[in-house]
Amino acid sequence: MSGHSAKPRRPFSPSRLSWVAWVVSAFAWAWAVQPLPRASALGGDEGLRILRVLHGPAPTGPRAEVTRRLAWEIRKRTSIETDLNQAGVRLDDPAVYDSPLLYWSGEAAFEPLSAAERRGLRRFAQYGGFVLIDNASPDAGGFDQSVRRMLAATFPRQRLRSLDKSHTLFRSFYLLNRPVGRVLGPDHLEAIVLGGRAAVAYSRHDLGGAWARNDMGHPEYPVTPGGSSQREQAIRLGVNLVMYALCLDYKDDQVHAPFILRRRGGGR
Amino acid sequence: MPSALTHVSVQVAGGWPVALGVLLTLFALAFLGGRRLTLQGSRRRWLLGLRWLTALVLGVLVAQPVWQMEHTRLEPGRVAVLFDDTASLAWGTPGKRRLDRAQGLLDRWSEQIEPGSVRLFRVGDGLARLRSGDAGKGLRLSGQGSQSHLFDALGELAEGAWSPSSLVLVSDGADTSGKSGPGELGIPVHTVGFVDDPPLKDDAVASVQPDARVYLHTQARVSVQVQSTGLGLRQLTVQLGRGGQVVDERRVEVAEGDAARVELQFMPRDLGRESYTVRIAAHEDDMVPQNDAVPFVVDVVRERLRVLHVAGAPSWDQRFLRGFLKRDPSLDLISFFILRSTHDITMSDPSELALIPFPTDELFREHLDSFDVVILQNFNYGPYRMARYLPLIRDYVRDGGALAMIGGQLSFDGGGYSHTPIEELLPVRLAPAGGKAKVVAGRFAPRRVKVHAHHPLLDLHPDPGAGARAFAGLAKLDGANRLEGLANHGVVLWEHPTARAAGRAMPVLAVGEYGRGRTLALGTDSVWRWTMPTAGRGGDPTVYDRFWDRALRWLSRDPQLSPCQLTTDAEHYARGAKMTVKALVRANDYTPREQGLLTVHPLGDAGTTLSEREIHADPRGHASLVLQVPATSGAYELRLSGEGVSEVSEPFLVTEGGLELADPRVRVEALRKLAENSGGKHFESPSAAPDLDKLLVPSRVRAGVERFAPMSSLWAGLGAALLFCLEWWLRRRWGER
Repeated sequence: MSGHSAKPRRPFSPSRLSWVAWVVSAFAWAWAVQPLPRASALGGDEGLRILRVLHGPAPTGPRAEVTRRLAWEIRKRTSIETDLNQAGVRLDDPAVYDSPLLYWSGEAAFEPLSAAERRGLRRFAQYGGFVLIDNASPDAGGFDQSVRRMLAATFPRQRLRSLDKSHTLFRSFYLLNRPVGRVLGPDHLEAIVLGGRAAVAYSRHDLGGAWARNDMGHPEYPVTPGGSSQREQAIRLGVNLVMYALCLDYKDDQVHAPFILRRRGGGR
Repeated sequence: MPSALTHVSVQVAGGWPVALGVLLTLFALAFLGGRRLTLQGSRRRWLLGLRWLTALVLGVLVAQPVWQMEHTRLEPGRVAVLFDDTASLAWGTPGKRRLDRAQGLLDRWSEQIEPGSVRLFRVGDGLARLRSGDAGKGLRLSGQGSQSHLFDALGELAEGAWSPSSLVLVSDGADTSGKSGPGELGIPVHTVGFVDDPPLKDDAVASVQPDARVYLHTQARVSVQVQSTGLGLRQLTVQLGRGGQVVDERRVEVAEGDAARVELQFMPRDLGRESYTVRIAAHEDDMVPQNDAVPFVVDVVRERLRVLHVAGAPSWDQRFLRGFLKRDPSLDLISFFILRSTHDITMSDPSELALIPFPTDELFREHLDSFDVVILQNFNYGPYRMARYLPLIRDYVRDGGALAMIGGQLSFDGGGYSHTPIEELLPVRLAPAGGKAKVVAGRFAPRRVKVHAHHPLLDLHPDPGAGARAFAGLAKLDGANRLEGLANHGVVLWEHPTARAAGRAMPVLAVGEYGRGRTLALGTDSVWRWTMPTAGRGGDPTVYDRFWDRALRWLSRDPQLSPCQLTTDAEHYARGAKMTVKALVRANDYTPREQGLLTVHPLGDAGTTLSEREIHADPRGHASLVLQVPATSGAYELRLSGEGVSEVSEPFLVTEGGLELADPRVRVEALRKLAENSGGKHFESPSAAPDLDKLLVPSRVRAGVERFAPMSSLWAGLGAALLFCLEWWLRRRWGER
């Protein structure tokens, strides 16, 4: 007897099932790990920019990338979206006012600022900007002397003030007891304070040296005497400085005080 | 009959002690000089006599005595009679009122007036001479005065040019100026009081004292004194009401003839002038029901504007807004910034962080109503499980709060607010939810919507030309949230120059009203560029501060930024007085209107219009006019309305007699003391007062003064010199040195 028989139905084989399961799982995983919206700016920029001040010889090697490293750490650790692109600006360039956060690092003495640069720096600070000056060779005296001379000429009515752990920037994100960088350095930062706000902060700890990494992503310079834990503290200080630039004395608000006191062991 | 008198007195230069001292000194010199004389006999006596005489004459010359003779004469007395013509005499049954009895006394004395010796005055809203009214009607009292400044009036009469020799006061003794007496008048004051028949029976709200400063949303107090006369021991319920609603109530016990104090509380809900009334229930036998309810007005101000500022992440936009908010001393700022999101890796133990939990329940449930303005800046609610609080935020705005949403990746649709209670109240429509925020990238200069040029958020500069130039000099903004048009009667103030939504330019800044609250949607996170970047380009960075100052004040319904405004020249008016009103007539969108309608209503009864008047404003919306207030005492409301006009109202009070009826009792002791202290007599009632001639006190007036100064002439001096020379010549002649 002959006749048509129905096409045999392909069995729903375990391999087919597995394939479907894998595909569905992949999509599910992709959807689940979709990052929460981050607070990058609406504008074309990718986020907070840390511009390097262009004056004197430009750093080379890993030190040229420290602002990117800092921006990366901030992006990883905080809700701030940062721009990882490196960029620099001269103090006499009107574009300096578009990014209220500047980083200035050096290892040696530098030429005095021109009148236009001094004016630009002074206005930058007065209009609300924040400058972090990082001494990359605190043991030698050249950069330090140049910085002090430059600040005295730019801000003739202000003196550098000491900022110790009681200042709000030491609790703007992390709770820190003292500043450290590649070297231990003094137990305080120094700052030009305008209207109660630290507008220019000066570190003699070589913060960039602690942040710098080579192309393989490994730390470039040894940190003494505290090693990796001191490096971590230096990164935290960088985060705190940027957080202070954005939030100023937010952590001094009354509502935060009891919490901070308890964690520092103060209060009841 | 006049009687002459002369009073003689002697005055010396420097006073008698000095004159006697000089004379004694001269006598002492004469005595000492005389002891040195060697002469004897008559020559010695001559010289001594001359010396003593010379000393005497010199002493009298130095003293310069003046004989003064004051002539006076007695004249018939002049009396000024002062009638209290205020509301405190006018209560009660006509015919039996104090006013009627005072009128009877006035009629009796009017017939006894001798020209030149009697003048009649009335006091009530000032001192005035009583003169005949219409022909045949004689002198009439009205009982309508609202201020009995009796003591000031008595002082004015006593010191006046007419110089009465006595005063008569016909009054219940209530001086509403707060003074306890007229001071030293120098003439007697006779007083005539009243005996109420039937005796006074009255419960009264005697005084009402609200707090000197009354703040919005803050408990305030009003101290009330109640008193009772003639009704025995009383249990009084004292109520505080506003617009027909009872706000607070207390019971107090008041003994017969005594007073008691009670404190009532209220919490103002609106800024500006508010009217309240303190009331007690009228006893059926209360003879003065006019003092059972006393209205008062308070000016409610904001102590400090309380602002909640929440930001989803630190940014320059948040940084510069916080800087502005912190600089303003009139703001009470509570800030919470999300410094770390759930997927951030802090590389630390939580104890090493200065971060605190985000207190969502405290902020958005427990204390939400305490904020005047809530700012959500680039903030998404989802990660913080705040969906349950969104209806509370909606209700908070509906009930009078204010919400500002500022743009960013985490705002509007990017924050998940589409199809939530928040979108319901925003003045803009949001892009569909899902994924990243919809953004219009690129730098742009927002375009101000000219038709709303008068809105406070656009009218930032007193000089429109300078304002336009300042706006043109601002740095461009960078990126905008995509907003799909207006909603909830929103008003667009800035629009995007190129992006479109719903067939129109896309809104960038829009404002709106939701229920009793206000909202603001700012679809960009780059307004901070009006600070540093603008300053660096030579622009005016103060526009940023002015914008946010206006925004906060508008959101919190600052009365000075209301579209329409009404001001009156006073809070209290006498019945039928004139009121000067100034108005600013504008629509809700602040466009000036040239016409409006001004109406007067009883407070709390907007359905009853007592009077209305059309007003015509200038092109800027300003108008001024004069109205007559109602003739009945009470609390009223002046309301401005009209087609397209934003309604506004202002309370005012019409008080009958002012403080006059607060305490209608006769001040018997005060009247008696006034009479006794001045040497006058007190009469208990007008019927007990004698005829006027019995009250006349003769007065002594000066007729002239004569002075005689004999030693001031040249001859006196020559005489003294002659004596001195004679003594000297005889001394030399007789061999004395």
